[in-house]
Amino acid sequence: MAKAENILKDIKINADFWELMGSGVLKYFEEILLQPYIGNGTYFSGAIKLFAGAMMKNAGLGKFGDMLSTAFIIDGTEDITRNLVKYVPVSVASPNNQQFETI
Amino acid sequence: MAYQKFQRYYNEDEFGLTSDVDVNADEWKRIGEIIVPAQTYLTFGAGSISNGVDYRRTCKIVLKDGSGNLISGKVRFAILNNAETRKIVVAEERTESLEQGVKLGEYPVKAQEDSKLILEFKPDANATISASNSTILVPTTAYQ
Repeated sequence: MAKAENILKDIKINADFWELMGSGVLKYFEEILLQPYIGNGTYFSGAIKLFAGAMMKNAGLGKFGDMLSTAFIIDGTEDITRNLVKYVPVSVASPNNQQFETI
Repeated sequence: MAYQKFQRYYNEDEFGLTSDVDVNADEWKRIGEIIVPAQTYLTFGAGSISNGVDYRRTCKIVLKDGSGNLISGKVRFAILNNAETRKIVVAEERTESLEQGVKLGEYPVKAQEDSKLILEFKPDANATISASNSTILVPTTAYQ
């Protein structure tokens, strides 16, 4: 009995973990579904996703709303970061060492 | 071996389309050729689709006759070794699409020094390509 209680306790402790996993799943799908409409990986798509995420966070949509909100905020931030990172000369810092097939 | 990678465009002059070329219907004709320079690996296309973002560069080829009319047909992008015993056709596009611009991502196989990047053209009807009326802008990726 005590063991069962511990397990339940663990689940409760890890509730945020499952919520974040749900956000991860939702992020995957919202990114694909929205791509034809607002694009992906651009400042434009990032701004819309961040705005949508922020609105949902305060809309009181329950746990699902929170998960979706987190998904939008992470995806929106990723889109914007990707554009900012473009200006970092990564290729200069790490020369291309790939081997390729030639003719 | 570390390579410095960069993207560059080749135009009609660099492909050697400097004078008018007669082309016959249903016959592939080489209309452009680049011999890969020393200490260089070169291939057609530039960029790729990465994490859902399209970084591919646009390829534009407009082949016109002396009157300025678009010549309809197919264009092939191919890589050859110097002796022309090996050939890889990288892509085939119609001139109607190429006039609008076609995304051409970096092809995985690279042509080494003295190998060739060629453009072949097969028109729908006999025609003469006017070098002065035609435009070629082909993205490539070079490793040096």
